[in-house]
Amino acid sequence: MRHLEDYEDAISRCFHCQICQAACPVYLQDLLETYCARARLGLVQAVFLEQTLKVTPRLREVMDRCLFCTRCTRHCPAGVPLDDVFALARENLGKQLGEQGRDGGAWTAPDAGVPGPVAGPLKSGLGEIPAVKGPVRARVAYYPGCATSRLFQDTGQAVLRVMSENGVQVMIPEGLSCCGFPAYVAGDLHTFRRAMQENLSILSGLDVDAILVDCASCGMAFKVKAGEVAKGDGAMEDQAARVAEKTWEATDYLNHLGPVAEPGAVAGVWTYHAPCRIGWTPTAEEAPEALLQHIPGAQYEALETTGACCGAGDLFHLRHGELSRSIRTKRLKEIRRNGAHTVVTQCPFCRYYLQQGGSDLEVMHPLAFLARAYGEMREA
Amino acid sequence: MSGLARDLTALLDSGKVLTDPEDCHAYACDAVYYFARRAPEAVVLPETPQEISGILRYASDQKIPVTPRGAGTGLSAGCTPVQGGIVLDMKRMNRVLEINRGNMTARVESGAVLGPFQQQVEAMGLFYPPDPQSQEVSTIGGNVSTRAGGPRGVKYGTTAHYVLGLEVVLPDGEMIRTGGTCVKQSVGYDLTHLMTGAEGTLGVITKVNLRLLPLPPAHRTAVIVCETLDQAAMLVSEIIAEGTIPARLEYVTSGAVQLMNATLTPPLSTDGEAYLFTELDGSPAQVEEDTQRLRSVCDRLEAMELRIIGDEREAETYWRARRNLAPTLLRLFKKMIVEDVTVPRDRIPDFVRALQSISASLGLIIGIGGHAGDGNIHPSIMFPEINDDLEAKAKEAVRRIVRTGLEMGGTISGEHGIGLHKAEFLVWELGEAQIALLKRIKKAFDPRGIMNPGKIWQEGGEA
Repeated sequence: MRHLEDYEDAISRCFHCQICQAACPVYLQDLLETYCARARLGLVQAVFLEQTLKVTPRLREVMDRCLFCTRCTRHCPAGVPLDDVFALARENLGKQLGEQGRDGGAWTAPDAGVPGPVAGPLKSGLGEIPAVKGPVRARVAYYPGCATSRLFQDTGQAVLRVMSENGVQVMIPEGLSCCGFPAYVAGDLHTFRRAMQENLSILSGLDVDAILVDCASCGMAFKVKAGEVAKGDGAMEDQAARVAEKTWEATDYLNHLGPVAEPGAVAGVWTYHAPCRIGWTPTAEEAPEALLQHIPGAQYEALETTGACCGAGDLFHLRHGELSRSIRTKRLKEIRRNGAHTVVTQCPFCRYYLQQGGSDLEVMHPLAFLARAYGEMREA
Repeated sequence: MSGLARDLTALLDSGKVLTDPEDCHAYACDAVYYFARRAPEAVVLPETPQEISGILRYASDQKIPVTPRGAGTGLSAGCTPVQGGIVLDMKRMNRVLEINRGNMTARVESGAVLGPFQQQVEAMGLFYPPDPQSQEVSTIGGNVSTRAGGPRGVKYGTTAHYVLGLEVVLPDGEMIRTGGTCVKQSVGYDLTHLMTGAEGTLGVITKVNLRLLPLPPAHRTAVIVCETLDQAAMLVSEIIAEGTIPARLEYVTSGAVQLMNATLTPPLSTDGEAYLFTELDGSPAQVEEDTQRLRSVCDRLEAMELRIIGDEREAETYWRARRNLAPTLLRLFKKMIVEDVTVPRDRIPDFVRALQSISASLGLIIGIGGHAGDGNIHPSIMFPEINDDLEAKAKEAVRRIVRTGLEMGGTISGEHGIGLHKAEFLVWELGEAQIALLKRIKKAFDPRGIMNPGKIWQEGGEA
């Protein structure tokens, strides 16, 4: 496990160029510099490393008012791992204030209908895996996260259907649990690491060509963050590296493999909302357009800004309703101006939150849209 | 609640006044973060000139320092509240009020962010060229206050060349409008251009009228790989002497290219010692003609490679890499001091040689990554480690660089402004008599000495 002190060098790489202002949805809404990543980083440094400022309720407020969208990290020219530093800062803050980590530690599933972390083993409930059509081109394991297992089974069924149509043999391993990303975000790194250990021990032993996820956050957990919390534990580092190497977002994987099934016609205008946390693989943002543009009748209209947040941020929207709604309003305005009725995105939180704000729209995973083009899906 | 917080919240909504140490800490410095850090006692987020007027009247009365601030991207410690007091964060006054196609002018609030404004203007077939590399976030008010520029300076000049008029709140709370929206103006002292570049020491700029140009229809980006820095310098002079003024003409060294290659496809060869990134613009015929001329100059001077980038999206990857170069360098170094000395462009080869000799004699890494075409080549001293020996050598190098630049007929700042970081050399360029005059001007505007005190000249700006 790494500590804040291990990041001292990385933190000092911040040039104060302020480019993070352009990336942070919270800053862009509040227009207060305290909320840009540069200033947050300076606070972490002053409070936890230099001890020149104290832990105060205002500090907690500042560190909490972050969606953990990780856009700052992706945007930072100096390569400062801002998200890791902020997760550790939340951990330190929680310890100093004698709190449990907020969302992840408790594993309290929020109200029915709201995606969130689920305690215990994942029960996919996706029914039987359809037989592969044609020759088997690849064998993959599919990790259906909490949202797909509990709430959005249509996404999971679409992934299975689309893969089978394209010669991909899918298996869903037994015994998987939540990837733990919500715990990481809450600064409960211990819980995140434990969740990762369980999942890695299952996934790293599989003889498959790829491990597919349908959620940007699960993907980031496996592709990037597992390696980060594994540091210092050689065996876990190896497992994390093996899993990271094989982790793909499902849309991205199919586009990479090349689809063979011919989609039928689906009328309507659609667009793509790129989830903030998809940054772990640049090609996942290109995949939906590349894959879905061949659907006859479906017309793609790109959004003006590719880098805009929906405001959800896991359960952030439950605690910061007004802020989240303001961010969502901007995004929905853009989507409506664009004229699309269908919005595809690879994040269940984006899907849930955009759908809540836009009952005139339908929001779904890109492969669900493709599955529709392959013919009617059976009911869940 | 402190007295200051109480007084300020009597003047404007409590949500616009911040005095918690966490918020004040966020406003303690600009991009010269290792220099002159000092948290203010209060941060104020005004939304109207009237609110600013009230604050300035109060601050004048109480003799409290007020430092206006845009995005805080400055490179001279210009918006650092070195004497504490109030920081006026202008970023909530960010509206683009008018883009007038017929008059080719725009009117914006001073907190408007440059990048989105440029996109908006370009979508209408118009062009606002000034391009400080922080353009994604920097504010137009900050650009005006520092006469900010960037790669396009070579052909299009800096922000100062586009300012037609201002709305300003003076330190006593009075509001004035200088200049206007005419391209010709000849009325009294040119207060517009006195406020422009005043770094917030004379008043607070709240609105700006800007001149626009038609957007050139064609663009072409090219990279020239040069065997030596000297060859690159010769190419710069020759390209321009041949009659082509590129829209951008940038120096990049091989070390920098190695970093930039992470985002360039295909990566550039790292065989060269220096690289020129250039963009030609104009009518399609003009761009074609300039491309041919570029080819012939490169052939004649035996450049190692000329890479023409045909696709505009691909070209943007080069300019993005260039834009992010300064912060990217901190992946390799612990600290860098960016100088802004600018020389007349026919002296570029001499200046580059002088920099190399300064670098060799002191054993320092001095990066040259700047706007070659306009002589503003940003010699940057790189610190692989931070220690007293390097700090002392760097200080000496800066003195020599500045001295050399001035001897060649140059200036100590082309586009960053003086702030506090460059203040010690002001007297070398302006002399005592001129500085005394600046102080008298300051006194006429700001008799109580509240506006961004401690800046531009060394012994305190309060006159």
